[in-house]
Amino acid sequence: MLSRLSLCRRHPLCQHFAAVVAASRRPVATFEAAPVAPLTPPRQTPNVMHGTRLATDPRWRRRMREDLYRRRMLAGPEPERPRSVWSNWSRRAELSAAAHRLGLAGLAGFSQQWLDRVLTFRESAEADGVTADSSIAHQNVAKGYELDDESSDSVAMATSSTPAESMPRDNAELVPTGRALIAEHCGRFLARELPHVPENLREQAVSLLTSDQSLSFVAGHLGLAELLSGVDTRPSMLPLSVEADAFAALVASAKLCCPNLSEGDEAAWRLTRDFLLTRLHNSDINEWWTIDAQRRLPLLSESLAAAGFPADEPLEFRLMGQSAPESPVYSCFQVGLYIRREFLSSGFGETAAQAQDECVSEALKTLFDTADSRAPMNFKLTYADLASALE
Amino acid sequence: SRQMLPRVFLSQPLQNGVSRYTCQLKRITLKFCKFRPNSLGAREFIENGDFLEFARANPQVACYLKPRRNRPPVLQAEFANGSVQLARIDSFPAEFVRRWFWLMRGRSGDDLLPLHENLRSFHPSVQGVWTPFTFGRSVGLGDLPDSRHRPMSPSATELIQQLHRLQSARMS
Repeated sequence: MLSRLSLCRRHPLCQHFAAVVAASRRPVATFEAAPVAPLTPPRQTPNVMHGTRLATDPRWRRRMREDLYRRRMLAGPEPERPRSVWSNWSRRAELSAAAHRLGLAGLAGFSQQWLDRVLTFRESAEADGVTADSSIAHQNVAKGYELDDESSDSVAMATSSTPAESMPRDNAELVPTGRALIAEHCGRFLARELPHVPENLREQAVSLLTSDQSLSFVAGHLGLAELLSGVDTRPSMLPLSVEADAFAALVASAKLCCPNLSEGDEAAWRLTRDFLLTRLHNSDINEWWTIDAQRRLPLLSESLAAAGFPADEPLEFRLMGQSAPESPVYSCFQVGLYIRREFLSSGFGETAAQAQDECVSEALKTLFDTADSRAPMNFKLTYADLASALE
Repeated sequence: SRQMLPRVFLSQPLQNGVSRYTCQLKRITLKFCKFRPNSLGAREFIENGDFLEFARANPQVACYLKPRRNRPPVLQAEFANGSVQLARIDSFPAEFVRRWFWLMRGRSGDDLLPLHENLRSFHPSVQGVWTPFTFGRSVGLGDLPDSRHRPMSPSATELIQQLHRLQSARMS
């Protein structure tokens, strides 16, 4: 009875049958058991075979390819899996490589175990299922392939001076220390590089730099996201805050693992400087904070007062150039800001009012020293320079 | 070509190289077959010790070997920005396999797309970009009447002045 129907491949029942067969035959290496529902109604496959006909294939092969493709589409997408479930993964090797990549392998107190703990989150250290080294790795151990001890590592890392008992079990205490350290580093760096910018604007920039989004971006690009244990490292399940915490824990660990204080400070500072603060390079620093439109003129007056111009000096806006009468198409006004008959800044706009607003923004940039023509930021500062500049 | 592939601007992930250089290659896997002849180069690369030499010289890269029966040899490189690049080394000699390894080590993982320019600067102008007003020119400002503007027909005042001049000339 079913054999006649199965000859007609377009019949919905046959397609449904094909889907069930495909799901049962293919060894789907699901990360968690995917529920197979054989009684769901057959889906309409989209016509994705348009334009994929190979003229050189014989007809039977074309139809076979189309059928296989249709079955694959019915079976649904590949389940999302963390990187560690594939067989080419060794946590020991990955941690060792990460330590060298981050420049921490040379530090006195650093070791692979320390990095392991730094990237371990507490909560689901007891919960299951989501740790690295999955069943495939266990199979490798059973076959005798996996050599998971440090003694066989030809590229040995520095042995840790920290005894195993004193190492923290996870990074719960490192995270807040790290976050505070990063905020301090960013604040100090901006205070040194942008001394004329008011502190509330610098704080806005620091809060953007140290936001979860920013830190998780850095952590992702350093390859930390795959190395976390105790959390689900699948990209769709990993929250930004967890990645950010991983980077913070790393910075704290660089400081705390060194017995020598200054070496630790320098190592932690270099991580922040080289990976986080370089996000300011090649970006307009004025984009890192917002000044309300109503606040611009008062801020300008305050900044001028701080720069030494007395408060009663009037600001003169003079029309410096005009290319056409005010019209929405061709007009371009240039307005200049003069104080005490000295030129301060100029701005362009379609109307004189817009040009004046732009002029005020440019004046603020000149006073804050954040114009395009300012010197580039110094990303080679050492921690000693940073600390001494503020004393 | 420009019509087929989009052009991109020169960039480095995480501003690599501005203050420190980080090797962007995280792990590299050499997948090969232990028997088939197209994996001969890969097998020789391993047996000559070049693979271990690469692994020792690059401790920041996790190197894996994955023997796979009846599959062509492939080099899989995974980069810090999450991208994965595959190099098919089917029937390559061992020296070529070695060169592919060291090439992947130097890559950033960004897609190989044509560049708009071979350099990029966020501050291309040092003295300021030219505007029509840079040298003090201004087109729309001026006092009227301007002697440069020639009217099509004389105004009433000019007509009377003309008549007065003619009359004076006739009188004198």
